[in-house]
Amino acid sequence: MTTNNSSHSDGASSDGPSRRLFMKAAATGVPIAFAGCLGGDGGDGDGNGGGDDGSGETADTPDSGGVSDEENALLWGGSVPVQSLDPHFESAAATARVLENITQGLLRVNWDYDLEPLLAESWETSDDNLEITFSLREDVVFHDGTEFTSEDVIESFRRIRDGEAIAAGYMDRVDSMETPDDHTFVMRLAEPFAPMLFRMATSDMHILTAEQAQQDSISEPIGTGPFQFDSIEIDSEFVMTKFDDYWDDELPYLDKVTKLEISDDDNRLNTFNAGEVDFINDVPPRHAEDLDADEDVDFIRRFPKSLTYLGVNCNEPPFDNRDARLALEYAIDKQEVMEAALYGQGQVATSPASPGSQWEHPDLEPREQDFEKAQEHLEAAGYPDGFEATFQIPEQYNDQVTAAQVIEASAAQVGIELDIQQITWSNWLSDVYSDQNFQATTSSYLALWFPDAGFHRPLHSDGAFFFTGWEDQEYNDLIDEARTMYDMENRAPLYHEAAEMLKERRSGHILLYWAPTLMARHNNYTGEVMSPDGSTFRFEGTQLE
Amino acid sequence: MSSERFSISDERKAHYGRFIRQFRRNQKAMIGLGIVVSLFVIAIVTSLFPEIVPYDPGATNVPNREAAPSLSHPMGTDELGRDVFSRVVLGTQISLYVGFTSISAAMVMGTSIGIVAGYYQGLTDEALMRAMDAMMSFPPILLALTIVAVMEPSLNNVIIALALVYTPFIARVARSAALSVRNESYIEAAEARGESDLYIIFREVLPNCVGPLLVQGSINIAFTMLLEASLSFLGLGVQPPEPSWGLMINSGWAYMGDAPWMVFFPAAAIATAVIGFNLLGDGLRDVLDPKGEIIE
Repeated sequence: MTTNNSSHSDGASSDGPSRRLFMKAAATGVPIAFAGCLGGDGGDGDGNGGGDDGSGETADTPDSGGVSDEENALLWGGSVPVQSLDPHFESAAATARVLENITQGLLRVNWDYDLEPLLAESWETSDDNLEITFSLREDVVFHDGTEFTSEDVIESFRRIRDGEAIAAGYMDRVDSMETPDDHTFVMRLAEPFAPMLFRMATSDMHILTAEQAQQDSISEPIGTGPFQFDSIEIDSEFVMTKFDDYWDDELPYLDKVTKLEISDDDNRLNTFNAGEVDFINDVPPRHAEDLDADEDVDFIRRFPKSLTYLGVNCNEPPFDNRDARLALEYAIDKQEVMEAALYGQGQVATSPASPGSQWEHPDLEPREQDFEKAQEHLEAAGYPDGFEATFQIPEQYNDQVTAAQVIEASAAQVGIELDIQQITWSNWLSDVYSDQNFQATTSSYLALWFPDAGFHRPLHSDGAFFFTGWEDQEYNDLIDEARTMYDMENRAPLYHEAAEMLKERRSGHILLYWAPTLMARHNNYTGEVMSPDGSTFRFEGTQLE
Repeated sequence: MSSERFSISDERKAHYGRFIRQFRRNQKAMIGLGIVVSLFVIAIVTSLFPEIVPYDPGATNVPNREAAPSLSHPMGTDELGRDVFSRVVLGTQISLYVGFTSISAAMVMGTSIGIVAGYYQGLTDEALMRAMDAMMSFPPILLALTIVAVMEPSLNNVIIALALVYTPFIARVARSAALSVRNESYIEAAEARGESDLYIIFREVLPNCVGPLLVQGSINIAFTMLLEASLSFLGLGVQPPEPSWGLMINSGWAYMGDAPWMVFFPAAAIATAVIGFNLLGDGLRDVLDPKGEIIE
């Protein structure tokens, strides 16, 4: 398997204008920025600062060489090259993966998929849920030495709003922003909107210095993170170094992280096995078992990287019929599909809720393969002898091409003839996603670590990635209601109900499997490398023994 | 009149006899013919009796994926546990089907264009042949890729693309053959008799161009099979799960290190077919080429 995520857009999304922006970006000829999991809503990916900047004042760093000539460093063989570094405008996952270490938001996600304080020590919502007051940390300085204040926050958010950045749709929901003092920031919303806080935890809404926030495009972001940007050579290497004045005195442990861009899966793995890099991400799933068994290697698997699904067009026959959709679902052995596509490294998906999260339905089971039931539903749908449908697969994702063939073989057994057509990612975006000119397809979503990402974007009729034509008013109302609730304990049951609806009413997304991020490092390194979102990296806790 | 026809017919018989004797003496041609005939036998037998192969070529068996060649799977299994032997054998059908239909279409189009150009000469010739030159100025793979990309990848579109790509090659040969025939005295005689252009083209020019066209066709068929494999390898040709050789190499190359049989056997099949048709074409040329050996 070659790279099945040669790059993704990262995750966050907004509503309304985002779809337009997404297509605009796709049309500007940078499919690479979105390739793969339809994770981000776009924004303009046309290479803000994507040039060969970075060769400026920091270019005099000694060459990053091998592991041996650096005392306390990590040499990372990375799968998807970093192309640009503007946190608010670059939607590629590769960018978010490194920015997580350089720039920071007011809050961030923790391992319970909950939000924890970061630049904000605490936050409070008013009784009407419209006003959010953040108390900011007082001991924070930026990489350029300036002190972090509420001015930086408001300027960063203004940049997002006025510049029509990726998260601009979220900023449209903000009525006003105030900075009563240097370390208090107040945001007033037009109506209660819980996803706002989750979005703030992504690099889309990270905080830059007030000065940098005035710039249209940013190539060397100045953040407050444990590492600072050092240098970049596009498609070759990316370097970040320890920030000595980081507000948490203990962190980070490493002095330097160098990412070598090695896109080819086998090449990356061989480089790692040869000891030339310390750490690699996106291990090809078929080599996972070998690495897991290797005592010198620390093999790391983190969910949820992406959710792969079989999408069917509910606007047209045959899949406008719920029974036809159910017949197809009953024909599939999802476990077999996952085994084939991911060599058993993934897990079968039941709902778009992140595995292990509070909003994941505790008891919901995936539909098992059952040819008899498939036949019954075929008859109910009026296709007793089965039917034919085209099956468009984005060719660059080997796991999906493999999955499609298993699905095709199973479906054929109940008389559903799926005609596989491998298409390019740009064709997928234009024909399948934008024009909705398809019958069945596969694709995947990235960064579904907060509930709106999974339940609203692809499945709500107003969602940024809505394209399968499955419209259900009751479902929409439920999700809309959930968006107004800040407290996950009250909110989660709504998502449980929504997950049941999706399964019972057989939405246009027949979910297949969750794919994890598979990583390997030499076992002289300890400590976490990944952020709980399952996609971005946090090297602050990584140590060399 | 009737006795005259008889004598021509005898002459033809004698000519064919000579041709067959020479062909038999030509080792290259015989080896090529042997390979081509075997491929045809395989293709025909498997299309009449598809159950003759040991496994259903589409039947996946994930737990037994990437198994090395063994008695039960003489060529091993692929990344979905499908039997490589069954798929390679059935792939013969696709390769031959694509090769033959596309080259036949190219022969019809190319021969028509070439002979018309060669017979009428002048402006017609210039117009037709410059158009052919324009098509030939693109590398075949690029032209085929463009055509398939504009339409959509499917078996039939691959055939159309290949036919279009190879038309100019056939047209060139047809034209030069027609040019050389054009000045023969029997054409002059037919013209003097007042025969129609169509009669002359079909009854006099065409039969005398068959030799070089056969050679060109049998060599180009090897190229079309290769190009089909290349297109399939690039994901723009035959679509999975069809057992096309090119497609099998496409899905297998990532496993070269662990399961080389996934690539080796389909590649060997392509090589065999290409060599077979090339030998046959070369042999035909040896037999037909010596000047004056044009069928009369």
